[in-house]
Amino acid sequence: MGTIRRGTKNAFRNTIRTVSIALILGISFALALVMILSLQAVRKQISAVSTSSGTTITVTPAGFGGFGFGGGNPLSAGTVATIEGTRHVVSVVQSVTGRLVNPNTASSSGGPFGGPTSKTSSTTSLVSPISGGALGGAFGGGATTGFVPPVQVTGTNAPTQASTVNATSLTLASGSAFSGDASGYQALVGSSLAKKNDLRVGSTFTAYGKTFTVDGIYTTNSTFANAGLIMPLKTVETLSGVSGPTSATVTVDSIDNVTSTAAALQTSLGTNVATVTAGTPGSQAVVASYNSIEQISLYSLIGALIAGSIILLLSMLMIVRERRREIGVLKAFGSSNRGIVGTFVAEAMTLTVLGGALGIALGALLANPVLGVLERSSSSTPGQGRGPGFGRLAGAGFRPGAAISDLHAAVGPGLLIYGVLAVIGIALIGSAVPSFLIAKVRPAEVMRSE
Amino acid sequence: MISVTNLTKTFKSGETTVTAVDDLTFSVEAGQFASVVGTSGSGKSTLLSLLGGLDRPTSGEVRVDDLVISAGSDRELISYRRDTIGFVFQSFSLIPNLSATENVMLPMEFAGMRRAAQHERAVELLDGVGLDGDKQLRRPARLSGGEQQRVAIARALANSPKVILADEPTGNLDSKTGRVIVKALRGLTDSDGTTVIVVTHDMAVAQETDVTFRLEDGHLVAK
Repeated sequence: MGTIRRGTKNAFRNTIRTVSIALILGISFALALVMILSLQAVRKQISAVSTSSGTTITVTPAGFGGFGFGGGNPLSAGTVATIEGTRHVVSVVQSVTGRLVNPNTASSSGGPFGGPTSKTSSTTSLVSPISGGALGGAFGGGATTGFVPPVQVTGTNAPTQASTVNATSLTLASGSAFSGDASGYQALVGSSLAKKNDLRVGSTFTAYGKTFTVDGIYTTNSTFANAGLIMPLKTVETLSGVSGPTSATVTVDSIDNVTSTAAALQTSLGTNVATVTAGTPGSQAVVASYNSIEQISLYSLIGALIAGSIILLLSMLMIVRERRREIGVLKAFGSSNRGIVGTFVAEAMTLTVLGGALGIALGALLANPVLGVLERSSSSTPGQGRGPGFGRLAGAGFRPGAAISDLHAAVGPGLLIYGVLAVIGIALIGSAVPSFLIAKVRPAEVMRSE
Repeated sequence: MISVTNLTKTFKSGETTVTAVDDLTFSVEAGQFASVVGTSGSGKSTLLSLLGGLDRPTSGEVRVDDLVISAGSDRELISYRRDTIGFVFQSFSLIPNLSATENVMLPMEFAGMRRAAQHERAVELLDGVGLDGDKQLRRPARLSGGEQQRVAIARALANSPKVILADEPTGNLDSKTGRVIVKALRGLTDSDGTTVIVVTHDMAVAQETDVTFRLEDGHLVAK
């Protein structure tokens, strides 16, 4: 105990030096902590992105670009069968989208983006809860004032899959979902659409000239999706006169097989039939962006830990050099090398713990601001986001713009354990070379300098 | 008894070899107060290092009672320095951030004594050298030179050594305080039978000792 007590006491011999070393170490530790937190947050996000879109492939008809864009023919049953039979394919979610306009909100019609210019558009008794806003005025088909967006219909064989409505989460607030092969006049209604039109489970409304029954009310993390409808795939296909899905979201068994499966699909389907896109558009750029943050964080973490070790090493070298005579005196009175080394390790540990405490405090203050800087510096490419709109990007519904801003730091028990281990490691590294020098100090040399 | 036989110590200094101690043979009886005198560079401190097990001779032998120091292992030398020898240095060499009491407790800590026992003996020793009360709790910087040297003597006595080796113990003290310290060292031989060897260039100190060895260029020229 005497060794540790003296080592701890020695750490406070020179207040200015102790404060300086602790401060520098603290800054180094704070940087390391921020980088660890950054790494954790980034890896979590990479995992989230990979989970939500990393194993999906989107297949759309060749030439199809969503409402108002391009043309092409729906995916045929044969095409879907080919997709389902392709190696590594786990599931295929088919969907077709349409727009329903309320005749009483005539300003929503008439243009390439807003009007019922395609076969998949029809009328409804429902009123969209979304206001036109500035974007509605700009992109709403020529209507400069009073534009009311249409209601988007998604026909799908996977009604509870959030990706079919471009969301990352979907829960049923009430009612139940229809089956994937249903073909009746039934629908799941988005929560805000239901509220706007006072719909409940069992309520009815008209669409495509038919009376539909509300099977359930769903809510998602997307404002636009909450203003839409989900109907059985076959129903929408029949009522809108489309002979097949306009999108197929293919899930493969592993992220490693995405690229090869996409290539295989494109080859087997042909570029004149379908366009195959690996993952959600933009997700690869997001992952790349996160990877760059991860790299920066990792290198900075290593750099910070090395800097901390070097700072402590040089400080301890300076201290040992300064106390050569004292080391000789201790040896002259019968202290072993081990005892003296123990004192210096305790001193190094004390300095490191002081620096660590300061670093944790600084790191906790700086973590989120630094993550913000990393996000801003790395999100220029994918960070614009898509947001709600009428352009249909079939797939997993990952929103790059939202995800890139979701980095948040959190300190957990695992991190604290790593921190303690890092402190011990740095203290040991910082006192290793000085310990070697201590062993080399001969008491006789001290006598000669007397 | 300390006996030195054909003791030689050489050092490499660049290309040349310096013989600091050259073929010394002498002995000091147990309980004697001995002094080693000589000019600067005559080999006094080197001799003290060899006697104290702080360094190993190039050749020859140092024997303390039945123990041959010059042939001891590192572990044996540590034990020897801790249990048999007490050092007193010219510049006191107290640990600056420890109190007088804690400085005296150090050798006892190395010997594995319990902390309470260390403290009790340290107080007793400091009382014995005339440093009492509040001064025992002071750090060295707040003690005078004479008081620091008394702490150093108390520290040297901590593990009840057979031999005290003092290197210029009065060198940094005024003559009056120096005489007090020499008297204290003399008291050790008289009361406890401790052997005291003092290296000094002060003839007044040498005259107080039982036997004086004069060194010149590493040779013993007179006794």
